[in-house]
Amino acid sequence: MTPCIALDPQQDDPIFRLPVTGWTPARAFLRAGGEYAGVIDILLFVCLETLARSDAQGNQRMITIDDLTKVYGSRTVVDRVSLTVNHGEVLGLLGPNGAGKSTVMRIIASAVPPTSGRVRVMSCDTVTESIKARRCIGYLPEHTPLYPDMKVESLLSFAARIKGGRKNGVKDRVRNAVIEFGLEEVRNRSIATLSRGYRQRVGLAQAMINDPPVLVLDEPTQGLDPEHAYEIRQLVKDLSGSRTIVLSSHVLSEVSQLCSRVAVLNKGRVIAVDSTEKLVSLHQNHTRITIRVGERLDQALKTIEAVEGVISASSSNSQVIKAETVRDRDLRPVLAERIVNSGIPLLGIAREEMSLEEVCMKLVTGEDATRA
Amino acid sequence: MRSIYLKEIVQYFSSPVFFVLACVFVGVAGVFFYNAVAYANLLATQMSQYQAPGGISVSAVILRPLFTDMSLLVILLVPLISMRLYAEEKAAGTMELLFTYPVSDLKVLLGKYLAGFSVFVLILAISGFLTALLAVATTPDWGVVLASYTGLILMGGAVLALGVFASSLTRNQTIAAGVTMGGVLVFWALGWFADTVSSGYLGAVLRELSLAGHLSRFFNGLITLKDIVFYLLFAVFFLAVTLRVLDFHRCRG
Amino acid sequence: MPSRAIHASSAALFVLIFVIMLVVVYLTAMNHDMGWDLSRSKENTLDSRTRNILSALDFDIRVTVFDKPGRDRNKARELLDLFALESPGVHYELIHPDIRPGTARRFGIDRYGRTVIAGKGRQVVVDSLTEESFANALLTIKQERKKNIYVTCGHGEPRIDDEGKRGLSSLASALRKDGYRVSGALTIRLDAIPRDADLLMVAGPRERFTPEEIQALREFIYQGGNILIALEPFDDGGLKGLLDEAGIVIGDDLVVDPVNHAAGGEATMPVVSSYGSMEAVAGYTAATVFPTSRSLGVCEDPPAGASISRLARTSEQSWAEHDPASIDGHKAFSPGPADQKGPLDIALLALIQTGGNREARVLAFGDADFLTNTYFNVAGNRNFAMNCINAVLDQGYLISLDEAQFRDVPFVLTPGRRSLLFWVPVVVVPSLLLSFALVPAWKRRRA
Repeated sequence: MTPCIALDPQQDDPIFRLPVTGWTPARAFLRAGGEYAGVIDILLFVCLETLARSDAQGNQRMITIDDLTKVYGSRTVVDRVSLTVNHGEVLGLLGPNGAGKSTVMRIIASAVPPTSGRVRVMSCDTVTESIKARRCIGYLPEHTPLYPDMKVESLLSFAARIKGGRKNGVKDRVRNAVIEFGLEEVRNRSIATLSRGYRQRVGLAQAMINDPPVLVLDEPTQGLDPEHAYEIRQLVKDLSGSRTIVLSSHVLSEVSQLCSRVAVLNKGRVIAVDSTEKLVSLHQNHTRITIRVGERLDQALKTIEAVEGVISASSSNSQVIKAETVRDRDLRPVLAERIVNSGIPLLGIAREEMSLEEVCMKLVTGEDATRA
Repeated sequence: MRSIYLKEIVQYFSSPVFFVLACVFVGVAGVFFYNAVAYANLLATQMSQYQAPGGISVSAVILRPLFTDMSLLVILLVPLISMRLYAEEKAAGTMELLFTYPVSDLKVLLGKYLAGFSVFVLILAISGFLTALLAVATTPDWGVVLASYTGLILMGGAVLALGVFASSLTRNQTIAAGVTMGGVLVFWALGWFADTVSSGYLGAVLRELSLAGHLSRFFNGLITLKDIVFYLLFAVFFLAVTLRVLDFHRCRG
Repeated sequence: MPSRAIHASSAALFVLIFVIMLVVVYLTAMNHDMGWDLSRSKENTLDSRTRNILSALDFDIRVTVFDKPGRDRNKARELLDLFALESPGVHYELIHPDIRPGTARRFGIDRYGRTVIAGKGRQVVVDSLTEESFANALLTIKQERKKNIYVTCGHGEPRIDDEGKRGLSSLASALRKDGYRVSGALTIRLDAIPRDADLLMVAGPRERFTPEEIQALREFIYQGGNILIALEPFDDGGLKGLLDEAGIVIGDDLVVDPVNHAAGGEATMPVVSSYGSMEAVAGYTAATVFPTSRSLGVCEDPPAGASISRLARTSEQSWAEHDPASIDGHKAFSPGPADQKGPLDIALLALIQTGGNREARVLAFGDADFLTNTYFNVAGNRNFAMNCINAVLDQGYLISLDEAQFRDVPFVLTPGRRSLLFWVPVVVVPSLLLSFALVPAWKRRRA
């Protein structure tokens, strides 16, 4: 029971998850009138509070991955990965195709047992205490597999029933999920007839139906048009905060937007783990400055190259010059001054942050190079 | 287990599959039934012409041939019921999702098996009106009817387990049904091989393994412990092997 | 990959261990097999006679059926399974005589269906395996010596070789099937009662026995012999005195039962369904029919060493009519003042202790007709008679408690009902089911 209670490390005010229902205390109080489970929950909560506080340090680690290796045949897909995910964190998994992101997520979700090493979800081992571990997780696999011949509502009530320890409340949970994920219009349609966006929402809804403390989302926006992808991102954003989320994505902007931490994988190995900002700033050796000029591009190029601190400059079209500069100084005032002094019309000057995408690319190619 | 069971039942009834299967099964059984009744009628008329006393043995003339025919229908029907249980999940990719729900593989398996079993028993129960109709012409031996249905249900349960196993091997439902039918035919025909092999332990073993060989006593109205145990163990064996196959799939991802 | 090999071998080991477990469970079930016969006609239940023989079997029986695959062979197997279900000592083998001609020749098999039943170092070959032939073969194997039954003749008794209405051929063949040797015996001479007689049967004599014959019978009894005496009303063959000595009184009367008589028969054909508590008849529920019978009675002062058991009694509505003239015609009966009221004994067994610690048994029936071909196979007569005789001859395990069952039932189909049996199962129900399948699809298409 204790593993289900965790403290939010960021705040003094602890966010508790009640052991039976997995609700926050406030929610339990609100619903206690109607549901005995809620009452029992509050009692349990009071009993376990002291325990939880003393145990809090150990429990803020929601997911612990120790030296995880997965071998398929002769192919090592995941190679000695160790990671921890703390309470309330959103961890993004990044990496090229075949880097082992999906496999790691599958192992976390207990869909696949590891070849060696261990994964614990809320201190339950995914192999030895698999069922307990699975109870704490909502999982959305890649491509969102769902039963095509089932109706949305019956699928959700199946998910609620199979995940729930409690017999009652299935209807309530399904109703809440339908409202929360905006599925009112399609509640009686079969999955096969749904659009991709709705499908994805149903997938999220089934993962979330029992309010699990941990969410594992494998490429939640893959294959969606920008509008639907945006919707899903908003949903995930809403879900984060109190929950621990692990997600993988191709779209790096999405990761930098949603995730508080990023792990970069390549060929089954973790090559970097850090918060998004730190990762970017750490791996940024140069600052790139984009300069727009009205005319005389060649002259402008020469002028820029002559400035001290500029490492290189290049132009891709007749107006834009990209200059790589040293990191420790902001060269924009100097550059602007020089260009204007040379009589070249300056249309604009901007410092460009190196994107996560580029960091990622760099990490992966760099690692490939060292391995080779 | 209950949730899986309910889900499978919902899925069976979400398409016309159930009623189409029931229609074909009951319809063909009905044709066999009428055939047997017409033959019995002919016999009875002939007997009355020769002023022979008594009537006919309904068990021998109608019930036994009817149930023998129905047993063949059962081995065609059950693979069609069982084929989707795992193959569909594999094809849709929902197997992965199922693996991550907090239920053990055993419970999932039992839920699926019981759902298929319920559907099978339901179809068989619909066919029960055939023997009930006999009451308009004669008094059938209800003990024989009961024993025969018991035999068909047990045999169907055994075949269903084999079907679940075949379904767990592939993502293609047609292959699953085909493998099941092939397997059932092999086990069905073991009795025939036993006759040609004739003597010795091999013949005896083959005969004991035969699916059909254990039915005849049920159709005579005799329920024996041996036959019940055979069908139960047959089912248990294939369910256990299915669990191993699932385990293997899980490891392979 | 070694890990894969380990995985595969552990899986194989698992399957192997599992299969062994299942086989053990199955063999256990096989060796402790039991059956429940649900059929109304009890067609899977062996005759209790066979069952008794089988359950008393104290040696192993090997049955070898020589037949080609087919219906007969399957029937034989089903039957053998039933035998095996009853006794673990029955082992069998079915051999195709054309595939294994050597074995067939060794047993002298020249036709399909022949069956060799072997045990105790003896073997019996029967033409085809039936429950009856099997039971008889067992008896033949089991018995050290066939028991001899002699049926008296020469006093107008029905004859054992007479296959007509009054003959005893049915009884004789039934006895032979149970493993007895049955023959006729003239008792005209004093020494004519064969020494090896296990049972002497006097059934329905019309002429009186001579005093010498009666003396011979008496001596036979007091040497511990068994005797069956079945007397028709008003014809006692001069045996009244002999029965008196055994403690059995015979009445000069005719049993009349206006209520419990055979359907379509006369009141002089009482039907008995009340039996004594002796093992031979206790629990026997079938009715027996005794056409024209006399009443028997237990002597009020039985001789020393004699004990008498009742085997069958008529109903309370019956009485013993002393005036046979009143039976003629169809006038209403009523018991006369001297007539004894029912229930009346109709079969008695007297056990008499004789010198040398021997026991004589006198089985008396107030009727002989029920043993004749006309009535032997009616209702429960056959089993009743056989049970009584088997009990007298200490062949208690041959006792049958089964009532005759009819497997055939009337089958009447009027043309209207016939079409009902066609339309409902072939057309109505399937199309109903099909409509369940089609309606939702059709609705979906419309929507």
